[in-house]
Amino acid sequence: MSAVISGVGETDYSKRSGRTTTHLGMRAALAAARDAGIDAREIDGVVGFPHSLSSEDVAANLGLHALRYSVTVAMGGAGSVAALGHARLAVESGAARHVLILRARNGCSGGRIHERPSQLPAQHFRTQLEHPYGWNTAAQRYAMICRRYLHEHELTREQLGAVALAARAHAQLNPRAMTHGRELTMEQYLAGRMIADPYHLFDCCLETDGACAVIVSARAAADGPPPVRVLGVAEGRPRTPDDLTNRPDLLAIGLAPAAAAVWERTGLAPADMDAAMVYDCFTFEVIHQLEAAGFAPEGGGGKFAASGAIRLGGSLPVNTHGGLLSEGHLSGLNHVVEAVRQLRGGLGGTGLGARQVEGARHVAVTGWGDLGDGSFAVLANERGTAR
Amino acid sequence: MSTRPLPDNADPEFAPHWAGLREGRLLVPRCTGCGRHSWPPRPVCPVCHADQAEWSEVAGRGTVYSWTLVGHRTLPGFEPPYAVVLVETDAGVRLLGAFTADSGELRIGLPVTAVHQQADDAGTTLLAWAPAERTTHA
Ligand SMILES: [Zn+2]
Repeated sequence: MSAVISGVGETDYSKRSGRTTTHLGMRAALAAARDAGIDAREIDGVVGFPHSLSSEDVAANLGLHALRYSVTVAMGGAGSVAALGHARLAVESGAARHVLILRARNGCSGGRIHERPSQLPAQHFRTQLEHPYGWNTAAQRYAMICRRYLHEHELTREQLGAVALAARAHAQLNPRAMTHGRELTMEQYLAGRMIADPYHLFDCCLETDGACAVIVSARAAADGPPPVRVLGVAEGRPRTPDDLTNRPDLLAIGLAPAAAAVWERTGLAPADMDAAMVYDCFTFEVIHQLEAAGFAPEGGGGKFAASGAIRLGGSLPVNTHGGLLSEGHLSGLNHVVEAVRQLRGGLGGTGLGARQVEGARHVAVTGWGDLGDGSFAVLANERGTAR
Repeated sequence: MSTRPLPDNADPEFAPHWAGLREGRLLVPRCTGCGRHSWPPRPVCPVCHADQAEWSEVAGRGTVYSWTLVGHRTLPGFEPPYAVVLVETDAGVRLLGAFTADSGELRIGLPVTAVHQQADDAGTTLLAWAPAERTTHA
């Protein structure tokens, strides 16, 4: 039995939803069930995330008949892609038939990021050893990784800007994107105020209210949309995943072993991918992950991005929806949704219009979270290489 | 979240470190099994699995391993722009701290020495790093 992504659903992405996260989450879950061609009450598995809706919330609000599989994935943003692996295991083992993966957040109206409960591991290291030195946000932590990269490799502000501008250009083709209708120029990018050097304003992702849902099923409904297969999925962690400061190599991230495992298991290579959805909390993380997953040579990610390769029409269109930088921050589950839509559209029909990657068969999706955790999946439609 | 975050000097996991700083000494755990200095403190040594470490004084010297300059306020008591530096000490462990000189001087590999900065009236003392004196007499 092979797991498929049978349905996806989203709410609007906005700065102020005016609804609770439970309300948002149910809307997205119901949309995904409709898309999958199932009654939402048939969902019998839930993959959730810390500080988000629990499986109990989902079961109660959707009136699930028989929730029999539930797991919480604690990898920050890397959890969305890792969740595909848990869902796949559940349906392929027979533990569940329809597994819901759900992200719901009032990430913009619900308070600033540094004021929210932290999902990071080893809170005593954070509060006792890091906050007293003024080091407490993702931007500040990851800036330390980026600064180290700048020491070891070549990377210019303009190359980082190429990531931001590509995301924004793609978002102009996506009416759902929060930045739809707002172009970004290199001049504007370069003038962005400093957040945590080397990160400036436009290196940083958006904050978003909204919800996003994916259903993984043992098989697709006969009258449902074309199923998208999870050809390979894996997760990985850096050394000392609870501490950034003392791992041997600050640039060795969890995505590297995850991607290597997927390439090995699927027999596919980076060049086989028609597009990639890369977790883009910050511009540098895209470059770093393009290298770690094998899309660009080590130290060559900046040049790769600035070459136009990551734009629609390039050799590897990245984040055709606009990503976290320009569509919205749904913790990367919106990256999975975009991959699914690209693969459905890759079979023909009207697809995603101007942002459709024509004939897409394989799309890679990365996850990044917490202190360098990583996850990686290769999704495919029926034209993709069979396992 | 209205006052500057400070460490809990009584937290047994870190208390000897803070007490050391107060006395002008830099103390980090050293594994009684394999002899390695380690940071942050852990109950079991990840290398040899010995579960006993002793607090050992190390020299407050090292080089900047990485750094960031924070330009956006996220914590009370911190006025941007301020630098956070991660220093690789001669003992092998990396420690965070403030930077005492102009951030324009920051670069990876910069030799630095530890400075002990009192952070409150109770004597809580934090680490900061200053560019090492350029001594001509080695
Ligand atoms: Zn040891």
